[in-house]
Amino acid sequence: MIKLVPDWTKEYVEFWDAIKRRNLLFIKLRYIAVLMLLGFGYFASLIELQLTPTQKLLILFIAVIIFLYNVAFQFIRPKLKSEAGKFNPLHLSLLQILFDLTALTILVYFTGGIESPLLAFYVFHMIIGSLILPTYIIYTIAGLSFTVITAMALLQFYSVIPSFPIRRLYSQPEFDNIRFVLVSLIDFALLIFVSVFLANKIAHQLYKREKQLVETLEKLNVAENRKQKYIMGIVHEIKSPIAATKSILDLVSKGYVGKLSEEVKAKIKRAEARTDEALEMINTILRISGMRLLNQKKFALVDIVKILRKVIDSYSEIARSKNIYIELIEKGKRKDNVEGDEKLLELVFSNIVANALKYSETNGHIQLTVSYGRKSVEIQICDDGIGVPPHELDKIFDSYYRSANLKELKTEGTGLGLSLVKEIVEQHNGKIKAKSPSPLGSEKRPGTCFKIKLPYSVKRTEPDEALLTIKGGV
Amino acid sequence: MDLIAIVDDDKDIVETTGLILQANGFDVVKAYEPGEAYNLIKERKPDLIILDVMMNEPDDGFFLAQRLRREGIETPILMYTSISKAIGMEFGKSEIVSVDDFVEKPISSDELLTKVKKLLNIEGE
Repeated sequence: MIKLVPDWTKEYVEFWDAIKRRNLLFIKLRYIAVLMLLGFGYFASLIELQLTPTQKLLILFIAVIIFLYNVAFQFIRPKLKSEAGKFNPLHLSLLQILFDLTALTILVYFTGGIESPLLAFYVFHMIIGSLILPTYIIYTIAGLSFTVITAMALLQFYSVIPSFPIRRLYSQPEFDNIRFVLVSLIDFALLIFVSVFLANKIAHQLYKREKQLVETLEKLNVAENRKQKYIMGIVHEIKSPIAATKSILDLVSKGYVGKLSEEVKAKIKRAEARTDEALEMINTILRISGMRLLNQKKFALVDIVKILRKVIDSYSEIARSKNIYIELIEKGKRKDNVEGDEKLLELVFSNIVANALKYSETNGHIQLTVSYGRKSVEIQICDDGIGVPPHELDKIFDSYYRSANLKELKTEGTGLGLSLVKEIVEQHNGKIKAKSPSPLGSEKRPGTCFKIKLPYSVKRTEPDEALLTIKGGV
Repeated sequence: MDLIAIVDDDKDIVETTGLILQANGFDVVKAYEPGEAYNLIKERKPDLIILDVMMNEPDDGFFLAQRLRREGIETPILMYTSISKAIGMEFGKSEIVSVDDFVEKPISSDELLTKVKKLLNIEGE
């Protein structure tokens, strides 16, 4: 297999993507070329060019051939993998150019050789080739084209092979006029070699710039990682003393260091609750940093209902203490083929359920509904808590945002939870929306609804796949 | 009487753990850094080791656990962790080193006692 892949494309996904896109474009353009070729006969008769029956038949024949090999290319294209060592999209590009040039050369021969109006079409292939093929290959192709045309012109000049000029295009045939032949050949040579030279230069500059952009992006990613590590380091340092404090408070409140009066016990309990809040915030920040840092998503088939049950279970004690009724409803035929990261989804639901519990009063009602759609599963979590003011609904997913009506409430929160929830849902290519009032609400307690839509399959982006294959193939 | 070694560079955590365990009838020995801990464990041969996963350096705790296991010391190890659950990375049993269980900080006296008793095969109340 010819080595077509330039060195600078190694591990450069954009390159393969561009090749794939261009291959598709060429295939589409070729269908138009077929139509134009078929229209050529008609157009020629309009302006009274006289095509011989041989010429007409040949143009038709070539049009059919081009159509057929284009169908074949279209069929092969999606099956190719971006691997450097095997037959890849770049080889398909080369094959397309070679087929096209062969068809074009035959057409040129039967439409007058050096006189042919189709000679200019070589330029397109030179430009296209320069954009996608390595420099040495496209120069070889240009040289080959020039050699073939020169040979054709000379052989026709010396009448070694027959000529098929389009009658009435020129006042008289020019293929036997040595001055015309010479000037045309020099013209042709300049045309194709200058096109290749210019297009090559421009293409390489563009690729280099694109590559620089990608490299800059990678540097940004590294910086972001460093930042997350730094945050984790600091937050972990902060966690240690708070965790120690909480451990000591637990010890004191359990009476290990002596009996406590009810008043002291109540204060210690309060201190414990406050340290719990701090720890919860810290854990959320660590979770976010960890997720961004490790990018640790493990997509597998998950059972949404099972995850929801687990979440409900983990909050059952708090729910009981506030006498809040949590129910789980399933709508539609159950499907257990949702693709997702179990741990992360658990985090999503547990955050929302925790919020619902936090902002619901005694005797509240929380309803979790799972509905199975055609392409996605929808999870709705509604409560009859304090609700969210309408003008703040779109802000609750912002980091560090806390609704105005929460400030009157005694509960504390980071405002980080929902931004994490949104991030995770989006990583699953899902959508989340908040609604208030909720169907469960009343005038006094409007309540909030969260609607999460998760597609059954998390679509992976193509570049990732391409990157993997290149890394393995080069 | 079971002897439990507590190893952590946070003195408050060591003291707290010690108080809880002593109040529940265990004997404890304490160490605040890996080298000291190693000597103590070799010398006193405790029935259970409580070890902090990250002491001064990340992996210090794991490193010590690995060293003990390599030397054939099969004493059960209960590991204190700080960020495992938070970053969604729960250590499975015997995944990296064969430690026997984990307690995430802050330490809840109830959880600690349950796990200690389980590891020492003591029937719960």
